[in-house]
Amino acid sequence: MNNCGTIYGVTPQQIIESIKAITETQEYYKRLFIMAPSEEQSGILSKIMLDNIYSLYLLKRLYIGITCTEPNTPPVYPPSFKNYLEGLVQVKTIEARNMMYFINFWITIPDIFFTPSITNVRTVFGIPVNNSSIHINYIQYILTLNLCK
Amino acid sequence: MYSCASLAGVPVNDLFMSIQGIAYTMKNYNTLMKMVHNVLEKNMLLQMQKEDMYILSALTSLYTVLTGHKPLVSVTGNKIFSSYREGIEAVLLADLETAQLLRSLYFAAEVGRISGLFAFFFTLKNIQATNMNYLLLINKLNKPG
Repeated sequence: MNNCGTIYGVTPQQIIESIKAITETQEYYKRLFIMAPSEEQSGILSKIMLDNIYSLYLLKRLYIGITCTEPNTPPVYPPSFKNYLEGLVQVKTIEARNMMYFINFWITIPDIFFTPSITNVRTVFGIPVNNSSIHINYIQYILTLNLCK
Repeated sequence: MYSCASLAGVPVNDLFMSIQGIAYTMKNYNTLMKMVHNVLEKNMLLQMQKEDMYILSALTSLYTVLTGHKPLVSVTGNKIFSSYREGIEAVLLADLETAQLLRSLYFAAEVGRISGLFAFFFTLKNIQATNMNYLLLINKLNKPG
């Protein structure tokens, strides 16, 4: 069934902003992944990137559910860190910022299903909140490994 | 009330894996407690082990109600760590893996009370991971290398 135009308690612009926030974070992880000094660390970073890909997929589906068009996300600035450690510190701060950003949606958006499956609008914003809290712990772990060599 | 046939949206395999993960960390706490010499750290580990016992018991009961049989968890012996720090790292990573599974369970569960339970356990596991990160950091700072 076509539900275009249905309001789910979130505007298309807010979804675009959310996609932008995660895409920006993903750019950091992509660069950190290349710089990772060990297989263990690159493995953790790729796990985090997979989480972000899933969040982006859900957000895009929600956008299409509302507008019936593909989201047109504005370009993101490439990350500006000089070394691996600096990048880790920056991405940890960004994850904390994202968590606060998505929490606002998560607690205010109504519990409405937008597909016949279990995917509902709150889940789309709840997953990035929980992802960020796990990612912060992973990043802290990598930071500790690299800080105290 | 939910019968055994109704799984209330809970992916049983993920539930089983998280039970297995918690059983693994619980066993490793025993090993870590034998290696720790600091009272504060020992108390932290004891607290986390108590929390894991609670989570394990609740998830085992839930698994039994949903599937009609008890989970056959097999954690073979206590793992031998070459150092206390290595043990902390292993438990920290296991905590984060379990937290990820509990997060999936939380969003998959269709019944509010069950998903609320998963949310609570997810939060506990994430806090435990933060605590383990703290232990790892202070041990690295005290004994670098």
